[in-house]
Amino acid sequence: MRAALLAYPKEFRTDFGAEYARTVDDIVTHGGRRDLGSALRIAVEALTVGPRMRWENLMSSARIMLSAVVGFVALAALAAGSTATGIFAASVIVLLLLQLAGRDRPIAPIEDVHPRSRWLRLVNPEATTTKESPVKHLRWLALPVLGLGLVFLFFGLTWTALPQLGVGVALVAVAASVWRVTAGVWPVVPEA
Amino acid sequence: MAKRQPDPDDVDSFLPLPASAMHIMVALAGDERHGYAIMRDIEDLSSGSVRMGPGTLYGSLKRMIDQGLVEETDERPDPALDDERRRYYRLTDLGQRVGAAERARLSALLEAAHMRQLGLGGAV
Repeated sequence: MRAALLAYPKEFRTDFGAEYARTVDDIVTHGGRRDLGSALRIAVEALTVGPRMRWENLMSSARIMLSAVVGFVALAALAAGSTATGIFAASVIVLLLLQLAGRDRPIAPIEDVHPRSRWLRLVNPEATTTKESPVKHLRWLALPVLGLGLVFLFFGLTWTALPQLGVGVALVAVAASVWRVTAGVWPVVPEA
Repeated sequence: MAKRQPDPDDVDSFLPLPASAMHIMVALAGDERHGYAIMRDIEDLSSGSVRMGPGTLYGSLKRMIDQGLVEETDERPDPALDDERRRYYRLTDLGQRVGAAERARLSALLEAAHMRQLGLGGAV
């Protein structure tokens, strides 16, 4: 029955694996349920709850979603198979990683913002954003921008056309920036 | 898309609680317990109609710990039967307040159901 643990995400197994095993032991010994029904119930639960946890982990991580975009671009570059596409795909990856790894939130005092993102502070010049600020809805602008960027990247890679590739890279980077800086934890700056 | 995290300063933002979370809260309302004891308590309180599996239990506990509703305690209330793999949990102050708010919400809902004679043939 402990094999059911494998259905759960690694994080869950690390945090609760030993305890889960102990509880299964308890069910068998103290609960007197050493029967096929108990084994089946635990197995069925693992096969339903485990994948759901994995899905929730996936969806709760913006990094994974953006990694999917990066993967798409990388695969497109491989499919096109030219040096130029490889360079641009690598540029996209580096830009996205910079955005993801950076801790800066432009909706914050200007001195706390990395120079590459300061232009985005224009969305809230007062730097006193609260959790109810309409600024947070700006993040949805990232989706059409991202879509347009992917279209440009697709045709840029297909035609090996540098202008389209450049525009595509820029749009994807802008989309990542907008999403990151407007979907952070609110309030970024304590209310005055 | 990431789910919006409830605000610890706004108890209502936690509501409505998932059924599994409320069952766990009720089990922990009386005392701190380890996982298996929580499962047994839930089963006993529901007269056997709710059987929470270990995956559901620890998945819910993990979420509740992340939200600050439940915390692990260092005390080992039952040393004779203890096992180092066992961990004991209790409600936090926030958990108590959220539990009270959910109880009030459910009570109001039940009252409304009673007033309208839900399942008894329609409104008065």
